[in-house]
Amino acid sequence: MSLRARANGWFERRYPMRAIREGLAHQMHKLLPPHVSWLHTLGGLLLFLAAQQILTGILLMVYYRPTTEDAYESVRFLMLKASFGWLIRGLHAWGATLMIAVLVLHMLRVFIMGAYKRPRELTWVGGVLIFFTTLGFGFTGYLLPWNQLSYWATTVGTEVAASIPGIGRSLGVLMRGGEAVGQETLARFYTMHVVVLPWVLVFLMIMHIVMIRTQNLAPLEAVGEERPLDPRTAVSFAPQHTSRELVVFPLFFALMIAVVILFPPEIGVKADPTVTPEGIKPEWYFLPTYQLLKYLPKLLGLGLSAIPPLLLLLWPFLDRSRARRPSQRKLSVTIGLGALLLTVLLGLVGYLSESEITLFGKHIRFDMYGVPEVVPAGR
Amino acid sequence: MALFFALCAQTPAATTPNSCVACHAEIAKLEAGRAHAQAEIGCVACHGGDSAQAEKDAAHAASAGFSGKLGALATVELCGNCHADVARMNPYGLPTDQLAQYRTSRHGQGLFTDHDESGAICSSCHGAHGILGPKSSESPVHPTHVAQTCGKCHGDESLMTAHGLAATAPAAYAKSVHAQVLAKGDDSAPQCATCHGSHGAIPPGFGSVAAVCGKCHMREKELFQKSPHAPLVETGDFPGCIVCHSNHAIQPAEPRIFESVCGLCHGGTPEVLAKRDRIAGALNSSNELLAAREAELQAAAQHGLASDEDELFLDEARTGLKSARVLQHSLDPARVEEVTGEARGQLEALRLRLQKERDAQRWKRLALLPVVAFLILMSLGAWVRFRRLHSHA
Repeated sequence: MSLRARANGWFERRYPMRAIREGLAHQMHKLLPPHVSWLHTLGGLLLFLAAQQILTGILLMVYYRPTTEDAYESVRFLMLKASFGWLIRGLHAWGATLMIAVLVLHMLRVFIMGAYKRPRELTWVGGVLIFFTTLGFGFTGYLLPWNQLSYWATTVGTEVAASIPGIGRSLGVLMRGGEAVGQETLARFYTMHVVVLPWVLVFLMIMHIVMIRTQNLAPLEAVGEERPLDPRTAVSFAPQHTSRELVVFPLFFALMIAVVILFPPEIGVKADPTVTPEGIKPEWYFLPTYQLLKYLPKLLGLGLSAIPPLLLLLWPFLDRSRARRPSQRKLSVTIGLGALLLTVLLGLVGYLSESEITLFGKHIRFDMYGVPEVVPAGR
Repeated sequence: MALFFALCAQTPAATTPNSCVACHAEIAKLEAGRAHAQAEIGCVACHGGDSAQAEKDAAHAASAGFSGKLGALATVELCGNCHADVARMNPYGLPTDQLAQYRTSRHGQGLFTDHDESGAICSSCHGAHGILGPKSSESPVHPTHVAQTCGKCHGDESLMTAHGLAATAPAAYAKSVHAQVLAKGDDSAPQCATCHGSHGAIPPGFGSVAAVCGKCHMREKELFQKSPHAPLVETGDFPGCIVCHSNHAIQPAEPRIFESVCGLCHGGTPEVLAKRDRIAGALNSSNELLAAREAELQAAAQHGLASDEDELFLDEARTGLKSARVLQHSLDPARVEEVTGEARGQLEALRLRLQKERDAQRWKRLALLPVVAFLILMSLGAWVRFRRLHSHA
């Protein structure tokens, strides 16, 4: 018996190498429904982005110091002195934004293809929870550079939470660790961002992937009319689908690096609790809610802004139709696309509100509600 | 819990009944907790009468020494009775020269010499009831309220006209750089009393303006006294600081003063105007350079490309230019040019540092292009493999 075979045998008796290898091979060669396309690489892309965020996050932690005195300076040091620190931070900052954008596209694909229907309701719920967790990452991570925008956006954000009737004040104090955003808030947000949320995300992603691998990707046939996969038309996970992913991942990573080079994230001015800057706005993914709250009385706005997340979470239990093809679910698809359009519109108005732009030579000013006003020349 | 609160509750001390409060409740409310009430100085101490009497006539009886509302002279003498008494004021650590100072003031001269009771007396500034110490932020003589207090009379056009004065000073002061600094919460900023005095309030004399301004602007005063203008102040031909800076409406000292003021006297002397142009030129061009570097550093800081050392270069230049602005009072162009030259040197060094940092960043970014190219090639390779697999399928 060769030395290699003896070594393998020694390990096999102590660790089920063969069983693991066979399990992996089974998963790798699994057949996927024939309609699987480039759009189905979005899920894998999210896994790639999550890994990228964790890796760059660990590297950032080497230099970052979560105190109000040092946070801003440590980020500045990272950007200026640490080797490729600007690249790591750029990838992490842009990665956060792109992860949310890809998540939205992935959810849209699942929604339009009716992939959330029985028996995949919990896969959808898990996916929505991953989406909320990612938004949590965005909210907590935004404060960490401790600059003026992040400080005041967090102040506004926690104030919104604090205005919930009943539990609001306690919730505000719990989030901030006091009445105002300060050292306690930074410590809490940092702990959430680097310890609590990563574990939650990893757990949710494992659950999500396990459900996908055991139930396979949803076919396009209606619920109850699914046919067994035909090996002649089905797509193999490896090498057919993985070859698609191998096209997408490096291209996406190249795009990310290009974006970081062309639009490096700013560091801004260090947080100053005594100076409120003009035009405080949250990150783009919170802009629709931010804008909605401006139009409505506080209580009504808070109540109304809680409805879309709940609808999103419970949608598979509300849409009981059996059809999966979008052409057979016109009402459902119209509702979904309408809601998306409204969200994008609110976000756009939120982005433009309290700003000035020049369009076709005309200077236009938008008030806090996003109502445009042409500014006469010379003013 | 009840015990905790019970132990904290204070038992009110037994007090002598004061019947004045029955009718003058509003005044009693004003006095409560204020300086005189704390010192147990009651109504009778100032107004006479008998506070133990419940009937108004008996309480207000002339036989009980009731004097009622006091006239201006009586008020000043009454306040002075205590506040000029060293033995009485010592326990409170208060000065006792207010009455003596008041006698020397324009207000006091009007009252004591001209018997004019329309001028300011103690209560005009401190109030009659509910008097607070000057350190209290609510006091009318606290630095933040002095201009408003003086302005009650000095902004009253009919009253000032009767005294042959202009009523423009409070409004002019409100626009001044001093008022702006005070409004920002700096209690040490000059207000009326800083230049005119408080109890001994009097306009600074023609020759003493520089001395008054020089209390705070010491270096400017020192340089001014060595300048060609100084002897003219002695002879009464030049009013000093106010020529360029005015008096109440003092604006931030800007280089435009050179253009608007110097020519008024030196219009016909080109050699003096040439000196002026050298000083103004050195200051103006340095200020422009400073503003440009500040904007450049701010933009760099926004992208995390500015370090603490860069800030130090800017601070050094700012300090240099601040000192050059003071140095212009010497009217010596060579000295001003020397100091502004050093500041410009710091600004140039900063420009080179920022340029170097920008170049370094550009190279770091360009170095990543091969990585991007490699990733795109990888993707293309995978595409070729995908096409091959697809055609097989």
